[in-house]
Amino acid sequence: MSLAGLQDGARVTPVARAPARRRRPRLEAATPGMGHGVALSLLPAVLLFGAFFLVPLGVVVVTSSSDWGPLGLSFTGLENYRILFADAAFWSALRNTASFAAAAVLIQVPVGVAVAIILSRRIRGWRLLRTIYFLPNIVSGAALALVYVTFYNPRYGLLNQALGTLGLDGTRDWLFDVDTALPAVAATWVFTAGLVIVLVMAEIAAIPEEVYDAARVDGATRWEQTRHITLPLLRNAIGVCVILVLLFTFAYFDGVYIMTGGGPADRTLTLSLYAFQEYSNSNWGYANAVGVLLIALGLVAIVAVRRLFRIGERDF
Amino acid sequence: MTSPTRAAALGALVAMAFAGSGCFGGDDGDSGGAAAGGEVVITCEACPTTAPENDPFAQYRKELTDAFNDEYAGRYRIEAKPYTPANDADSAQHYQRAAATDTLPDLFTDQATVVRDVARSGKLVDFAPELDAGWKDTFQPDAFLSLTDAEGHVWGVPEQRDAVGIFYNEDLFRKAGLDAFPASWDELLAACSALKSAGVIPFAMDGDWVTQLMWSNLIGTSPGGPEFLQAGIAEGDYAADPAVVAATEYLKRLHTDGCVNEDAFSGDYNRAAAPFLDGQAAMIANGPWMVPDIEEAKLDAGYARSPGDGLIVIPGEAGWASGARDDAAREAVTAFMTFMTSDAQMLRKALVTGSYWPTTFDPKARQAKRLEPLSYDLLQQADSVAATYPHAKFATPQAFTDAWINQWPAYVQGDLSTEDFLGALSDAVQRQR
Repeated sequence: MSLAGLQDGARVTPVARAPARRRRPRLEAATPGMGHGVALSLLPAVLLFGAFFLVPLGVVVVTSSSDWGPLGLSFTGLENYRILFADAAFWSALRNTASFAAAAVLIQVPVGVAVAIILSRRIRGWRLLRTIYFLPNIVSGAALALVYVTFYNPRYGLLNQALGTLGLDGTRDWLFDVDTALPAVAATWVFTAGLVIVLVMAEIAAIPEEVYDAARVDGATRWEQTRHITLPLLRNAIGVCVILVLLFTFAYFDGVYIMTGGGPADRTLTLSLYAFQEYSNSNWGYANAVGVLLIALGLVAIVAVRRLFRIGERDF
Repeated sequence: MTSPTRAAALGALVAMAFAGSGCFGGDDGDSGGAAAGGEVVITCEACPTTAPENDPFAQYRKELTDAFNDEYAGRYRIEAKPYTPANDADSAQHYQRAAATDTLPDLFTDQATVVRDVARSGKLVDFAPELDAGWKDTFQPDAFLSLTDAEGHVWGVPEQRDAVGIFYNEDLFRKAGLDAFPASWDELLAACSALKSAGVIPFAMDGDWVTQLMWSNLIGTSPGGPEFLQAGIAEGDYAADPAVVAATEYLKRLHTDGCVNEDAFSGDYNRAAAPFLDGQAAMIANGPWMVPDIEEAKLDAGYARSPGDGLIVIPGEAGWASGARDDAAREAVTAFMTFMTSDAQMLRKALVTGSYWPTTFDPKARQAKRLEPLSYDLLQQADSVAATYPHAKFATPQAFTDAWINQWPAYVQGDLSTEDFLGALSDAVQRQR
């Protein structure tokens, strides 16, 4: 197989062609009576899923159309959504959530993929480096946020002390300055790409070595192998990583709650934090309207990324 | 009349009022007040079963619970089911959820604003009948201000009434050549300049509690300010009040002139407490409960009324409220409230916690000598200052504090006008109403 063949795309090579779809045989046909057993074994999971996910989800969706608080509940149709779309704090939260999502997709995923590719070459100390990169994913988000609160402190924080030592401005209140709050919060997690690294490294390990052998025979350099073999074959893994980091940023709460509480002036407010704040202020129906939009946003993102990356289609 | 006798007499009085009122909340009496061999058992989420050494309030409440159970053994018994919230917002949600699900405890405490919010559910005991039967005369006139609604319902019984002044580090004042605490707001600005020149942080603030205390002082010492803090603040439309606008702009100036610590925006009280207790900041506004920390830090500290001759007096900041659902439980709750506010218990609480009574208790000279002098002296000044007023935080819902923490840094940095900042606070309050 030539390098040109790989460049043209997986569709021209037998190994890269997606298998023809086949109708799966029905279980009952394969093993009479087995369907009931499967259904029975699935029942606990289905019941738990229904009780702990579907029912609460239904409650959230239904009550999002109500004025619900400690005093009671009354249905108000789409009034919550009408108020929400005229609510400046909601638009700030949506804008900030989109900014966090963009930072995650444009920084966290590329950084993770790049590090994974480098570590996959088994460079010296790669296991140690992989562990170090993954460590922030093990530490609780709240604990990390508390560390960063100290790190950014304008009076005694490490960052300002370092800047002062270098003769730069060492007085800025990074987390509460309207110009720096958003990037300062994003910087606390956007470079911690441990999960992306592990997922991508696992995918790289699954690429057949013969593909690289063929490329090397054709005289491909390491960069050419990465560009024309590794990256295209990582499409599924990268797509999954994009979905994961998007869902993480949509649900991002603990760090921003501890570091800034959404301030200053809503500069770091996220949708999940905004829903929490409204809940805290006893506007339960309104909080659930924010929650419904958050769920919708997540669903749209999943569908869009799945289509964009053709997740699920096999390359070899 | 001795204290225990007085407490018993009051108990009988309010019990009679209880019997006469015949309107004790409650529906079916299926929980709370469970009788066990004639003994009425009431649940309490503010009664700890253990008390850490560094928490005098928990120590006192445990002592109070045990003393009540001993005093009323065989008749009433408190069953402690302690609840420890992560923060104020957590506590507010907890009791709102409990009200919504009809699972409020027979006894609990929270800030007056939370108690009033929970009362909107209709699930709290209204103590007005008992108080109107004469019990109220044993309290200071302002004791129930923050626990009473517009219709005259009284949703809780206060356990303390404190004067909140400004602590100042006398060593740092001397270092800056200052020999007295500023008596006016102009003098405060001059003191800030002197302290800055001496390399000292003039004022410690946090962007929330402490900062709002100074905002309250600035408003309260202005014409019409006390009335605003007592009533107008709950209405919103702050930008229309010149006293509020002037106070807000003065407070901003303290920040922009470098009179406060650099990390004064987080909303974390520790950001203000730490530089004062470390001896880096010269002043901090706070209540008498800070005295033990100041003593531990071995600071040579004074405690003063606000510049402009005013004093924040917080009555009923922490109110005891009840979700009792039957007559027996309510009777036991009332007995507890009466016991808790007896002279003996009020004195004991002041000695253990450094926090003072909302009642008319007048300690004898030998009793007063045992009280912490800094805070007790300041409390006595409440009768002679030009103005007393409440803390803004206790006259507003949680949404006000959320909006303050959120918008204050942006306002100080010039990202918002005074009108916009006050408009954001007003919106938060009006929306919550």
